[in-house]
Amino acid sequence: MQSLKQNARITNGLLGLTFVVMIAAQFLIFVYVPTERTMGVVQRIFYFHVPLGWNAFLAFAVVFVCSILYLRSRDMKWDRLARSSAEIGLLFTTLVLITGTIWDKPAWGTWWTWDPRLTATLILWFIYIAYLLVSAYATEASQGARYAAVLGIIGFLDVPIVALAIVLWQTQHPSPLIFEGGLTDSMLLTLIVSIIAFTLLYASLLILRTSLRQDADEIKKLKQYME
Amino acid sequence: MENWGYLVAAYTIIWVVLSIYIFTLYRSQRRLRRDIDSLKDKLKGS
Amino acid sequence: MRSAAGKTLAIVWKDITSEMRTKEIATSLVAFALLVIVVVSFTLEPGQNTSSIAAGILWVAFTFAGVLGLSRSFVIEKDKGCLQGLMLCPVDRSILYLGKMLSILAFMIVVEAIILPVFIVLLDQSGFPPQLAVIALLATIGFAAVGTLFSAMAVNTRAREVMMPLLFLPVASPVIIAAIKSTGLVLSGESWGAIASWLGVMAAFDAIFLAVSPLVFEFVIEE
Repeated sequence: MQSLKQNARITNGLLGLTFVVMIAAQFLIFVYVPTERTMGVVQRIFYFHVPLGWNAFLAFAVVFVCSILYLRSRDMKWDRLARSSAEIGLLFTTLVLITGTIWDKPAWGTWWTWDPRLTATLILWFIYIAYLLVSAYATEASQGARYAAVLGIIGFLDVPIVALAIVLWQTQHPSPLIFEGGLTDSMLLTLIVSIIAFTLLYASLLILRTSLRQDADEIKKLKQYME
Repeated sequence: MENWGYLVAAYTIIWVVLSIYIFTLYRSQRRLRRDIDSLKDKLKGS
Repeated sequence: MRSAAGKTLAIVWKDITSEMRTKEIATSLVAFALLVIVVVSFTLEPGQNTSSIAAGILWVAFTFAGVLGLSRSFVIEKDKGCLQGLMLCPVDRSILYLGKMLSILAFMIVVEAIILPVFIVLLDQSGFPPQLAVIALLATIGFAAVGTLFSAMAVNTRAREVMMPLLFLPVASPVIIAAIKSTGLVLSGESWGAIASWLGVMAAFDAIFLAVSPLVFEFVIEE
């Protein structure tokens, strides 16, 4: 099939580009950027934590858009895209939580701080889980796609309110400030490159995962022909 | 330079998890492509 | 043909009359909420029943009772085959949603009205601030708005009982946080000014989900 071959070339090209930018990011993170004063070396986790967090949110935005498109057109390709994005989003969200926890311990002394970012991420994690479970526990495929799409829409609309509530909660218990003196130019550059690298990674993984679902659906169709 | 351990731990976890995921995806893709080809051959044959 | 409001009220009335006959939802929810309050109170040492902790206990009880009540609402329909009957009516799906939402809202308000005074006594709070009624109303509307939608979804999936709280709790978390925090403030004597922003959060949640849920409800109910 023509599109399968094209898919492979695009995917591999994207993955290659991702690899290059990621290497550049690693250099910036570990060699170029100076160590931050208050937190020391551990602060470098920031350059992974934030891009992962940004992409976790981006993945959910993609789920949102694809959910709407699926409900309108009932074209399974939107469902495949949405579910793949949710899977990758869950993965990234899990990594955000893990890196956040590992960063918190040496920085503030406790494993978990209930600060707005981490708490909101935790709730996003649960919404992702609910999304994936709803499609897994549906009684048949189209119902799973429909229900997941509804949750994708509701969940995404919920995220800003969750963020609002948690920030409000925390202003009454201010959590420790992040950096003394804010972000310097070198820190900003490193952060941006890292964000680009992880966004490219997200895009590559998304295409890879979606084409895999496409293959699986194709197999189902072929098997039906055979009966 | 004290908290190296945490940095290494975080870095390792990220890349191990991502690598496992990518590896699993590629392996599934190879298996599925093989299945598609064999099913298509069967259909042509019959 | 009846108007939209008439059809909505018909659905609500059906639920209320069937409940009046058995009283099964109201009694079980009241008993359950009280039990949650009592059991969680086991963790308290004397003197620990501060307003913020008490607020937490109250809303844990209301949340769990709410989840139970919301689940029951559609399980009954599905088991008795009423759901298909309702769908055969030439009713706009959003009216169906509104009817179910209003009836579950009514049930929950009744349960809360009974529990609140008991709670004040059990946890020895200083009085019944009127703001509590507004907080409870806003929060319960939020619960009913998304809960009706999720309950309808959960009832059609394979892991019914667990699915509903899994869907509901993360999405409703802002309402739960707002309810707990504002109740705590109000129980310790604060007035409207202190809770204004929390009321705002709940109002925003209610507005958004009351608007969106009826629109997506048809995708949940269709066969």
